[in-house]
Amino acid sequence: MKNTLFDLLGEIDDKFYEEALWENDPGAKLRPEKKKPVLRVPFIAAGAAAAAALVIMLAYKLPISEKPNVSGAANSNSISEGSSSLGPGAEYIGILASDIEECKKILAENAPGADITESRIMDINLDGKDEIVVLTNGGYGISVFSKNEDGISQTGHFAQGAAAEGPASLDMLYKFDKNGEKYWYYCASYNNGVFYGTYILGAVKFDGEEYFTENLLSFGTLYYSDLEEPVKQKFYRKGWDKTDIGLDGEHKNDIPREEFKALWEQYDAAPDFEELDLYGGEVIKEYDFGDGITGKLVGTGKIADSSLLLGETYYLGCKAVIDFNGTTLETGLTAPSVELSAPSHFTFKDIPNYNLRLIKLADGYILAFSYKPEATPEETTFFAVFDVDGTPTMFDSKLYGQVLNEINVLSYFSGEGADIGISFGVFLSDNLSVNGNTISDNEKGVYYTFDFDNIRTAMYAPDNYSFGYDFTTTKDGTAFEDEQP
Amino acid sequence: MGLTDSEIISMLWERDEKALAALSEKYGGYCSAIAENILENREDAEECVNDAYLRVWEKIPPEKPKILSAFIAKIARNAAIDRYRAAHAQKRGCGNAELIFDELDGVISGVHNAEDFAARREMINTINRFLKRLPAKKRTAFVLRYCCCESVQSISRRLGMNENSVSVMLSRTRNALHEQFKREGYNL
Repeated sequence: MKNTLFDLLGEIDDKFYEEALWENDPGAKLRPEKKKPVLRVPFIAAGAAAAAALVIMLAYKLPISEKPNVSGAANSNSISEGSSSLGPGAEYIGILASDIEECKKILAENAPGADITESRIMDINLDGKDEIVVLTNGGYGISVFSKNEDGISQTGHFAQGAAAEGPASLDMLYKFDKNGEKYWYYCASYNNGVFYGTYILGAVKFDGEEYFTENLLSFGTLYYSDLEEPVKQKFYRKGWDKTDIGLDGEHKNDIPREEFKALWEQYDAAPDFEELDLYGGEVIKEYDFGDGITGKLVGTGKIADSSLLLGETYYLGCKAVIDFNGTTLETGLTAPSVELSAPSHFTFKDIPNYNLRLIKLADGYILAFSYKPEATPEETTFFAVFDVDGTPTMFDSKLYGQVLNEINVLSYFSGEGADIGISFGVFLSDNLSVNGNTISDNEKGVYYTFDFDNIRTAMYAPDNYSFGYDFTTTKDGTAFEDEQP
Repeated sequence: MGLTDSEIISMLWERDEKALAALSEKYGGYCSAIAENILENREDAEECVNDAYLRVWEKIPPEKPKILSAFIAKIARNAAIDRYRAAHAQKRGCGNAELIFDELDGVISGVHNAEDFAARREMINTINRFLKRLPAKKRTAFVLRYCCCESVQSISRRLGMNENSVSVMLSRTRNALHEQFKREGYNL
């Protein structure tokens, strides 16, 4: 209950409250909104109204219409009221809308506290018989209930692990055969209006006993170990680093379901990834900085999937290795391949849009790694290198700037994404000049002043850093917005 | 025509109870919204705002806030959190406030001397410095979320961003604040 930071935030400078709530907005725009009442349908304590709502939901909130029924399974869009084809074992009995109530009772025992956020009667098993599929919140995922002459029973669940307490939605996208096996694509999204949404795109099949899922992409809070790693591995392997993704939507990251299917099939291919770390990485490019200082751009992993990302082989886990007159300095390089959220370090091979430079300033060196892949904002990562007690020391991977290209925001981030100031189009041009501890990009009209004293005295290598900056005007003479402290 | 902040403050200094009505008229709406963000109950929020007016009455004089809107917003916020904690003293809740606590959890964990006045003041200064150097949009999102307890959804609407972007931005800002404390020598 006690949260020190929360308490401290109650005592911060008034002007920040003023700015957030009122400044530039003497009217209503930034005033706190009145909340709209939220209608919840608690699962355990659902009363008659909730039950009625569920029945209505069943009647009207039906699965998205599928593509042509590849599997030949029964139409899942209707509520069955009679028997269907029989499988082995107990006789299948058609499901009634009222059976949902029984499912709720069962789920109350199996998953205490779970709320049903969506329910479907559909042939999830693709065996010609309908099941009841419910989406629950609180990490319980999707539960499946079957009905036979013995009654309703829970026969499985999948897509557990999404942390959510509020509204969730489930799209059973369409069914298809793959290598002779029948799958449903599904997309589950959760969003309680407070945390960001969690999205899972996956495929599920039923083997007669269990549900097997392949989670193809996720974003959000996944905390179950059985999901996190597989999702991440595939996420990395094929270069999927989109976030806030949806299907068939209007958001820029949304993709058509056909594309999703195609990507899923790519995932199923053998990973085209080679781990290079065991061999010390692979040298991508070598540099001679003069004064006996040389450098190498090294990749520790390689992905040769040329279907993505400019058709180029690309490396991840990239690092710069500098031989500084006999002292080897090394630092990781962050160069997102597609999105800022890309979790690893990607660098393209054989494209000219990156450059590693070592620039000598009055009080030390700045190692600058600039990159400008087509699909990403241009960025430069800065590393301070200077002499500490006679030893060249690199302040590792903590300074980089980037331009968010759509809004041209001036922003600097630390290596871990921490915002430490501002920036501009920071792909350093070739037209640089140095004066004291300032690097001027004469083409961009920007200069960067590095406060080595501050770095040296206030920070501890290699984990800390500081960065001073200053701006004059842009190339066209426009003054920069001053966001400096 | 409503009273200006200066006029309201003067009335408070003169112990004129009409100042409270003026406060209510001018700032009641958004104080209620802040309190409701935390308490998630309109009636509790209204009671809390009344508590906040009383606190304002007790604080002015001797205080003379430069920014009355922020002054009362903070009082309403803190009154709401006091009430929330009193109501949830025995167990964790599951509302917006808890989510915010969770999000902030760990940013400065390990700091044990926050009750010491001087140390506390220094930590607030650290936060102020940090906020000062943030770009305005990030700062606004951070303050709305963690000071005014707005939902991400609400913030995203205000700032014209999607919720995910707001969440990522908040996450980065929290990380940056953590780094700031570390840089300033806190053992986190």
